[in-house]
Amino acid sequence: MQRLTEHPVLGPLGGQPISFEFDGIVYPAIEGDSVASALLACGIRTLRRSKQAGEPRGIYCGIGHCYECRVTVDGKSSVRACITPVADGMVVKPGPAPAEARP
Amino acid sequence: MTAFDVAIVGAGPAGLSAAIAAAEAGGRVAVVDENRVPGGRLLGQLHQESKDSWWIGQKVAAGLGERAAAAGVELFCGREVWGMHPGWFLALDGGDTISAPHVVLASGAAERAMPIPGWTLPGVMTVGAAQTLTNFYRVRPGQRIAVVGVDPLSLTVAHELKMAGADVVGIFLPPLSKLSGQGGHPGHNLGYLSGLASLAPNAFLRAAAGLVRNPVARKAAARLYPESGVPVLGVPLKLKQSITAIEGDERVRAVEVTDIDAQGRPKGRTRLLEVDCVCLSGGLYPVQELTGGCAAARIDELGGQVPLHSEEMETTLKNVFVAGNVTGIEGAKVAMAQGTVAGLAVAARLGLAEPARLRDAIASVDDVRRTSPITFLPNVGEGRRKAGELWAAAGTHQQAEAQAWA
Amino acid sequence: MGIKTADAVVIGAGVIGSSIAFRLAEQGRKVVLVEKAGPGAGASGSCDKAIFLQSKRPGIHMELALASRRMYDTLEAELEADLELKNDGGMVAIETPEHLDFMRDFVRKQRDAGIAVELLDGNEARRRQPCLSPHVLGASFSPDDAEVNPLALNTALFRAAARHGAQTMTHCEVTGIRASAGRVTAVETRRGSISTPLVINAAGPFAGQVGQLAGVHVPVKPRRGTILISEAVEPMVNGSMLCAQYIAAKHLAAVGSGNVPPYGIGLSLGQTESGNLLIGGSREFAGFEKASGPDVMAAIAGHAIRIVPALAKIRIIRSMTGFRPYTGDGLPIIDRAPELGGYVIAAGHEGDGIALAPITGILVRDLVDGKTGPFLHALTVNRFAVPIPA
Repeated sequence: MQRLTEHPVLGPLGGQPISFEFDGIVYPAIEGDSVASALLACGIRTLRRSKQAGEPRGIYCGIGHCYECRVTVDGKSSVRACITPVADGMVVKPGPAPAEARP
Repeated sequence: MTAFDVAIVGAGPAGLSAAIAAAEAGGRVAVVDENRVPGGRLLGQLHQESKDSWWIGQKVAAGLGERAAAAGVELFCGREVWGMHPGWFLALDGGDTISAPHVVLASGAAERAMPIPGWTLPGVMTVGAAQTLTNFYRVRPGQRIAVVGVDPLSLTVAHELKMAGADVVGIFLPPLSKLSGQGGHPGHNLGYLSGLASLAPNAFLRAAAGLVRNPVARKAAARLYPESGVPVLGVPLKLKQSITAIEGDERVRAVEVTDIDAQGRPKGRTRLLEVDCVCLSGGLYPVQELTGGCAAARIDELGGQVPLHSEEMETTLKNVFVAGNVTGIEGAKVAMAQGTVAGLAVAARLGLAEPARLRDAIASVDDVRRTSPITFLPNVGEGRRKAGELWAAAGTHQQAEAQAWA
Repeated sequence: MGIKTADAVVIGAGVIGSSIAFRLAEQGRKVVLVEKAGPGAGASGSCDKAIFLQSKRPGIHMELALASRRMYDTLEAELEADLELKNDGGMVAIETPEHLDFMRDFVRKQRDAGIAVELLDGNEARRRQPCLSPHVLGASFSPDDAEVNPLALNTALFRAAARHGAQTMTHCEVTGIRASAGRVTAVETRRGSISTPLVINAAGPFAGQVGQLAGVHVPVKPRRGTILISEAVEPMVNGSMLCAQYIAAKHLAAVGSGNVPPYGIGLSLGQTESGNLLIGGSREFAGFEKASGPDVMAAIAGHAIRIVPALAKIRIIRSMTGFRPYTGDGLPIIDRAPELGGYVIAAGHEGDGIALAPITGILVRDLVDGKTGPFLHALTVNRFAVPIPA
């Protein structure tokens, strides 16, 4: 619904469809997507919860500067969803991983 | 440890241009960027340059990337620089080190935070994030979007969101506060728009842009500004309303809109406007995380703290150069011109470039600046002049110190 | 701008200078607190958060720390501020038989001095501090060790000084001290002159340079330290932790043979309220050169990971390097300068600035009031008859 398959200046969108997992659910993506853009295209805005108050957090700066969008990708903790390309079969979990769960 | 002639931090327009200049001259060049995709802020850029030509940043980025690769530049994309140590050595994430006698720091700009109540809700993001999502990743950040903050970047992005089919309900002022500084003042914002004269299709804004040098006229324009706003490129510019809070539980549901007077003071009336996305524009500032060892100055006309540098873009640290928005907020074309200067300056040090080529490149930076379609900061020329004076003073001081040691 | 006058000018708004300014202003003195950068911009803002008693050498060092530690019990109320003070104890991890012998002796002396400290075997140490490596032989533990947020402490002392009428001048460098007939008459700053009969040099590692402005010899030199800071993680460290090597390095004691880490490294580990780990640290003499290099950071990390293996998986987000004010015997100088009337030195707390800030304010107040007390005789500048070793 939020994916721009057509654009008045940029034209039609190409790219190979792939899929990945976030928080236990499989989502579609297009090769070249970042983890954050693929999730947003599926309507997923919340990427983690704040440590103390448990408030939802999503994309903020979009350039890897603010670390608000950190997630765990294939077991690697504190990865920035906004600058990490999504890959077919990738397993993403919200927020950073607890220390003992890290590989 | 991998050795190069020059290590460049940042694969945006400045860093890639520096890499191309140095590598095409014959230098061994490494470029490091924490984003896996090279291009920096180019990736999101999309605006009309003339009647039938568009600046499509991602195409420019792809072109620069291809040219760099063809010249033998080694790109370390998706890698972080954790530290920079004299010599020079760049410590990368995971323990790798790049060594090079010359460094170009092209770390670019980040957006100032605008912490209005509710700003951490999913659906609230910077205009820069919205721009990259829309134009590069081709995902609309929302269906009904409010833009907060009035500056050349926010107006451009509002227009891009509109082009992408979003309903942009308006471009609003931030609340008047210590944090937003003058950003919440309608008269100030009219002044800010002077850099946009060429982008403003609207007679009122063109007139306003012409009036801004006169403070009395600016006040009058602020007073006469219509309550409903004025459409700019199809988006209502609301200089008489500010967003005072963002509402929502798990995500953005609405913004709280407050009517303000010509001085930016709230007039009491507030209402909720339903939106699913809010784009904040607090303005860009130069990122200085790696320039700590260079003499620097805070120059507001350039967007904040900047390293002092020579015409050849060298800082007070020998063989450490800078280029692009790290030296002050300007457009991509200026960044590219500065990057070319830094790359040629390094090549000249290596005996690979003619001094005349470097001189030409230096001269072209000002030409590019003069003909830029967008000026992000209204007094950037004044800022560059101040920085130049401070450099001259620092240079004299350094010479004196060098003589004292001799 | 008219000519300022003050009863006392305090130079340096770290925890020491701010504490002194607070105590002097509290008495009704007209105080000006002058700071080259911002409050806590130096050592006070680049240190860990522990208030350790059991790292102190039994004797005057320990008694001073104890007296200061007691003041912390009421300090939050007195300063009307939340200092994030936690009385959650501290531990010194012991890795080798040589260190075990050294610490056994150290602990015995501390118990004799009245400190509640016990020696735990390896299993008991790991029960209280599960993050410890299986090779750790034991630990000393004291429930009296505590933690505080140094930035909150600095800010609270600075504000308390201002609240009691001290005038604060930040981002204002002192450029000279004027004297007449062997007595201080004024302090020159970048923002004008302050007429005063009393100046207090609380410039920490820079106390030597500030001393030179008045021809006063202050035998303090900078001892560089680097601390790594991690991302916020779930609670994993109970209270504060050191290693026995830290105690040895701090007191320049040679314990055991071989395997001494480079750069004067000894573990200090604590966790902030928001979850970030502070992982220290090094002790080096390198003048005022702030760039400590990647090798130091790698060595700190390697040493810390050996004792707390889970740290290997945690992301370091930044590091900070500062200069401790080093005197050579682990004690600060709190004394009148013999060369110049009206010039007081209060510097050289090395790594104990946070622990000793409360008592230092009181000691300087007493010194200025002409009182003696149990400590000042041991903190004189004349105790360094010979220059400190380079």
